[in-house]
Amino acid sequence: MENIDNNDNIVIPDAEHDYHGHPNYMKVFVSLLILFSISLVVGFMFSPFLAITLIFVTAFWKMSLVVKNFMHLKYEPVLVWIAVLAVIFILIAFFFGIYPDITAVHREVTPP
Amino acid sequence: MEHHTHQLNFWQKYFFSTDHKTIGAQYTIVGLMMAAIGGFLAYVFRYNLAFPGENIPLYGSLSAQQYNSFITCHGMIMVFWVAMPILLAGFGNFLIPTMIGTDDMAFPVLNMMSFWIFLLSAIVLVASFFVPGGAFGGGWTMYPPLSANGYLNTEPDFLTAFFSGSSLMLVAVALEFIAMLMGGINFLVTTINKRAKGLTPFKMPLVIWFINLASVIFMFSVGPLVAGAVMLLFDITLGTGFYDPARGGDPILFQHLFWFFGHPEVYVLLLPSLGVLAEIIPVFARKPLFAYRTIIYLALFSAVISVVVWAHHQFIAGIDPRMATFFSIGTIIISIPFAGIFLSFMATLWGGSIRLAVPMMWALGFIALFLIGGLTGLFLGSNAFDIYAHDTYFVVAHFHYTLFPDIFFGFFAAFYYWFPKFTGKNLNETLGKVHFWLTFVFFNCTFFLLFFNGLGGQHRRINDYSAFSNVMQEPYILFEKISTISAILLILTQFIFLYNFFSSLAKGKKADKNLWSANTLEWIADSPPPHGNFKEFPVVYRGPYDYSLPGIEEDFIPQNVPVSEKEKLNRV
Amino acid sequence: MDKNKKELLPINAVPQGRLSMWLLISGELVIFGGLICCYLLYRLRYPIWAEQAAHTSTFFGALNTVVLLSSSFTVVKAHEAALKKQLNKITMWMSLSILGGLLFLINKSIEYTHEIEHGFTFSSPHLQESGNYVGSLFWSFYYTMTGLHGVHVLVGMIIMFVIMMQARKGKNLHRVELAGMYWHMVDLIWIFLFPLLYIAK
Repeated sequence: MENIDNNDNIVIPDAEHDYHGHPNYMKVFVSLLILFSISLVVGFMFSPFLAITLIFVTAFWKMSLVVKNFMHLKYEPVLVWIAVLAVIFILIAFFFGIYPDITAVHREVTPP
Repeated sequence: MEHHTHQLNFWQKYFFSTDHKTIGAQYTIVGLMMAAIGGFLAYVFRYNLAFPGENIPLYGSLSAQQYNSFITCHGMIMVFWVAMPILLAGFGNFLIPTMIGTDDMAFPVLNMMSFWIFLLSAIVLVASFFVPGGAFGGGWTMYPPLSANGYLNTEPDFLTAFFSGSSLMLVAVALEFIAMLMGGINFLVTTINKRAKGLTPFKMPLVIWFINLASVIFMFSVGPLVAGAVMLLFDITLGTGFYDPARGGDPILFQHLFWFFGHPEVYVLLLPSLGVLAEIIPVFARKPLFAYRTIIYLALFSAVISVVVWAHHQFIAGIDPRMATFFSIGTIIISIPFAGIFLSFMATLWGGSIRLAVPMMWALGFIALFLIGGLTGLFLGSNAFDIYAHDTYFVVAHFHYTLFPDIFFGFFAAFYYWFPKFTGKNLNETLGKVHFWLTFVFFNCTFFLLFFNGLGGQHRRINDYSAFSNVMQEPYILFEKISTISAILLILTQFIFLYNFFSSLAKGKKADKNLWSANTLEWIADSPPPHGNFKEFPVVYRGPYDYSLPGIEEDFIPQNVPVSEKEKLNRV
Repeated sequence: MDKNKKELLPINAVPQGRLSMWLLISGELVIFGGLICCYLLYRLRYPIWAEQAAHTSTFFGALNTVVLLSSSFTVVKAHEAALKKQLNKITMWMSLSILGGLLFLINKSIEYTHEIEHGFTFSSPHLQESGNYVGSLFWSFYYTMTGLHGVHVLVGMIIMFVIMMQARKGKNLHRVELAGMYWHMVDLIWIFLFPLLYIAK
């Protein structure tokens, strides 16, 4: 935090200026496709529990590939990371806050 | 910095303006107009409570259905169409560019669009009073099943269902969220990217911090409710069963979605007002704000905690009791940062040379009243007591003791403080003081007695208590009457404000550029600030609260004054 | 300067367009995340949903995933071309991305047609009449989630079209990246919807 205070003249890159790096997009794309085919294949091969775990692991992996490379999060300053991580924090808080009330409760469905 | 003084016609200047001050004024004025509607609704149903069955002056007779609509819309309007536009959008638009020393918002056109979407949402809400069946009457929280398959949509017809009170209210709220999201993104980008040279984050005035923090909380907590509102809209119009327990859905889910947003919303409303207090108190106590950074950290901490306390609104809704304990503890923990913030305000007052000008009176009134609201909030936050007091007038009194100071005392403090700046005219001081004292007294008379009614077992949202023998006796009937008469007087008091506003605007004395001798950047600009605010962008050298520094002759040093050698010696 | 190395940037050195795009995206992700959380909670509550999920077409879902991933790739290529100011290439890559979106919507509508023909709609009356209310709830979620996502696809296509028209003439080239970011977000949401609705049976 201290370096911000001392840095009085932050130069904000203008919009046209290419300030971040560029990964090899083709490589990212191919790895996305590979991950995708893995998630398709495991659905037919393993036990359901293992399959679902693997499927969601690959989904998160794909997500991080897209966000970090295609959206260039890799090259963004801390502030943007905070915004993205806040989303995950919020969703975890939301999910586990209501988990016991929606899922861990057995409610009979009695049609009208 | 050159500004083209191109000629704008009337419409461009006052309606389709992209200037942040005009847009701020538009938000504030629409907010005040909605406050007038909300106040009128309050008058009508309060009258009905004190004098049941009688003809209400200026309205006529009130049916039970209308009573329900009115209490619902009163809550809806006051939170989403008064507090949000005034505290968040109004303050944000006026203060952010001027206090960070820039000419306008980062996205002026987006800013204008967000106002027009907001206005559309207000129109949709007001229009919902005139559809068949009237405005939605199931409580401002819009819990299903009342909102999902209430008495209105007996016909499974899409259009009828869509143009019902409940669905129009949902649409209005959704539009309002869009407007506020756009505004919030604009505020954040402006603050992050357009600050004056040298204005580092920890030299920003607290109100800027707090408005931005409020935008962040709003932006991140509103998401699930937007999804939930879409689901509810489908329940109303398309016959799905997301919230219908008979069809596999769960109404508790909507309560969670609503309060996951609804509780952080309380802090969205509270933070901008606290920021205003943090600006006003040091100026009128002539002392630096006590523990500036600590306040920021406390506010950040409260922002994080604010998303894990929501279910304290649902203790009797049938949530998991183990989670109820968790949320109770969270609720009690979140009072700590706010207690810390208020204590540092009081520490700022300690030993200051206090000037009791009108803005300071509103600020002190805010602290006094919010203390009562905050402390009763602690009772309600612990689930053992809440089970007893839930949905009684104790809760009503509690949240009016928090939200009324927050919305109106916060607004009036800011209004009396910044009005001379943004219009260039002085307000009438005496009328301001009369306005304050009458509001303060009548507000307390209106709501304090309701605590006792609540403890006596009076439930809210009931138009006719004749079946409740426990409240149909003295002193509760008397309390109801006192409360209603005070509420009417409270509303009438606001005409003093309106008179002061218009007469000062028309023939007020010309205000000095820096009439309160304050430090922040907006006081450097002309009064009223022209389009573009500053003649040249200011450069900031110091924090916003340098009042009465030792060894310096003047008791205030504006932020754009460089730190002198003498001061550096004294600072050690 | 080696741009592939992560430099120590000051905390707020983001151009305002990208910054606002990030904020918009986080806002949108919370909306979809909330919806996905609700779906997931019900999914865990009703294991019986598996028999409804079996009716969704994994083939179309997989095809659409490939389409969206590829169009995400093409839009990032458009951004690369925009940096080099190759206007023809921008137009080509962006039209390919829009075509991807169109293909996605066509696939989706074929898939919807199949499902509606089998009686699975927003409220699935035939399931409700046979007392399978829980099953009908799955389809409500299915249509809400894919429908909301479909609206975003449409919006993304319109945005890309508008920006392509500007970029073709060399105006506002930095906006190509912003449109791309929005499109990646649409892709991102689909990456999660696909396993949730199509694979995890």
